[in-house]
Amino acid sequence: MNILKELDELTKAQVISPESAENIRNYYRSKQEHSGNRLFIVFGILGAILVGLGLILIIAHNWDDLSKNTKVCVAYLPLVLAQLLCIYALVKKSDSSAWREASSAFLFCAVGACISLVSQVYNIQGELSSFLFTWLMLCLPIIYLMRSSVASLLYIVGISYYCCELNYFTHFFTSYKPVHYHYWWMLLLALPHYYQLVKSRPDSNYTVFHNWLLPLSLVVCLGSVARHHDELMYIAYMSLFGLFYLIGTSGAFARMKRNVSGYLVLGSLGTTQILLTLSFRDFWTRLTNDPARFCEWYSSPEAMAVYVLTASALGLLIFQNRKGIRDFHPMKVLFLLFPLIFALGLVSPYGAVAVVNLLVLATGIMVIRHGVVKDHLGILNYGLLTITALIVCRFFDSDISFVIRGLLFVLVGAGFFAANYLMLKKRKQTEHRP
Amino acid sequence: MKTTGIILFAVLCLIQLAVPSKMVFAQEEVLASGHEYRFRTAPVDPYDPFRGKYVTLDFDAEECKRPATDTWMRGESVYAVLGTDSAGFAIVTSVHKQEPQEGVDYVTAKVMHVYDDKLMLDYSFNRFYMDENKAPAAEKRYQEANRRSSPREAYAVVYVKKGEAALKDVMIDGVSLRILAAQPVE
Repeated sequence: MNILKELDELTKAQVISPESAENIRNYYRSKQEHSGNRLFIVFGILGAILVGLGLILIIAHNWDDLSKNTKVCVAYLPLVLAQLLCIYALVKKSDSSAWREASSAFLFCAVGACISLVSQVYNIQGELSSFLFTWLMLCLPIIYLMRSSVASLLYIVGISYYCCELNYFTHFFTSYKPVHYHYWWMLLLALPHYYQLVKSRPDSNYTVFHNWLLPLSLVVCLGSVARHHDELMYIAYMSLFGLFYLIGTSGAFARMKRNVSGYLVLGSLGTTQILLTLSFRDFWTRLTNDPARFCEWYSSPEAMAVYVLTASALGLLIFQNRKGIRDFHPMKVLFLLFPLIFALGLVSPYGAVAVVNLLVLATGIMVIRHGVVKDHLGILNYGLLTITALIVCRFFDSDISFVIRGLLFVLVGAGFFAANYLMLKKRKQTEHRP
Repeated sequence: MKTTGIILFAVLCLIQLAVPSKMVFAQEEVLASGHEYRFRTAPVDPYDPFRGKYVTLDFDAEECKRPATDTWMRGESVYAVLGTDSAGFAIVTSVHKQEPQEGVDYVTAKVMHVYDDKLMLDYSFNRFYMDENKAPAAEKRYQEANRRSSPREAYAVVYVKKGEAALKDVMIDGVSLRILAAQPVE
């Protein structure tokens, strides 16, 4: 550490007192210890997962020379070993996060390994979804009993894959589409740990990973509720992204040191992406072509998703602004306008197309304004990119002449240049002001 | 608090051990007291990253007459009641949506295809796991035995009890595929 080398010189020159020098030395020493501990945790977890996966592969060789009973015993080996390690971590090393997390990760892999190896010995194929369900249910308690965030992350990845397997992959080519809502209650079971994490350690790496993985999982799995009224899912997704944006800007999430959480990014990108998709005519004309498909939509699973998500987002919006409207941002309210646009689209598709296009344009301009007010180049360029994306979309499906389209591109390009130049110039002026 | 945590964790460990053990006992029971059926087969050789190498089996008894009373959908679970043909190989005598009453042997299956007059079924016991070094040789042996012109008889030995099935072995002319796979191919 360079500063440590300078300390003696600074003390000699009486710039700092010997006590201050000692305090500085102690500070960096403790910091180094802390980062060393973090590395130990990271490599501990990675090592445990690799060893677990390696054992699965070694046993998957399916040693024919071993008798069936020996193979069954060998299948239990990693599981028993992982359980013993976890018990050791609980009894002797309960304060060591590295021990708890690494042994939990190993146990998580070992449970899956044991079930699949027994299946292999007895040639039980079964369905991948039921294998995943058993595995995840056996590993859920690890999150709470071992207080393990890695187990929680693995569990969230697992239930997301389980949901996709059950709803997207297995019945993708079949006409038989049973309804499975297991993902939702399985997700609820993992939330208490996440809540504790956000409350007690908002800036830890585990919380940051959860803040990305959880919304990502919801985005992937929300589509699984779609059955016969899948157009309604656009409203559901719009409300979900609105809810994400509101979560990302409220309470503990807004105060986090690294406050660009998955909620904020996914909420913002998702809203823009849906609006851009629906700025094309095709969706709206298809919507009005077959009005019969909307009979009894209000009691469909898609409608339930719309009710729950819109009500949650609206509740959070009201809660955030209970003391008057603060820090207004278009992303926070777009989800409220969307059901109205959808209703308009059922009557007049062209009206809805016009409104959506105007909305994207207005959002882009407001985001640019937000970027200027906050003196944030990233936000400013995000607004400009939104408008560019809108123009690119219109490039494909509108009958505007090439000259006007060309001019629009030149204008936006010049806008990019001018906006960035002006903001940087403004920054320089502020820096040079005494 | 710490003791409670350890006790709860010990309970979890027992449950984690009990679930695969239940699978072991269920299969052992079917193998010990189930009825033996021989299913004619034809293999391919895919790779499962979780469970190593195996030979996938196609059965002659996958095809059965479609009952006209119900509507059948691709992907749904059904119960296939088993019988034997004159040569002693397994055939499906009937297909049901509800679990058949006791006294008949049946297995669970998935409807793979629906035709005008017949159904194609997919059984849960269509993977035969092999030592990864022997699986390619096993595949070769089995492909030879399953050629239409081949005089050799290939079949899977499956034990069945109350809807549960356990695949015991795959045989070519009465010799286990595991033994044949260990011998050099001529």
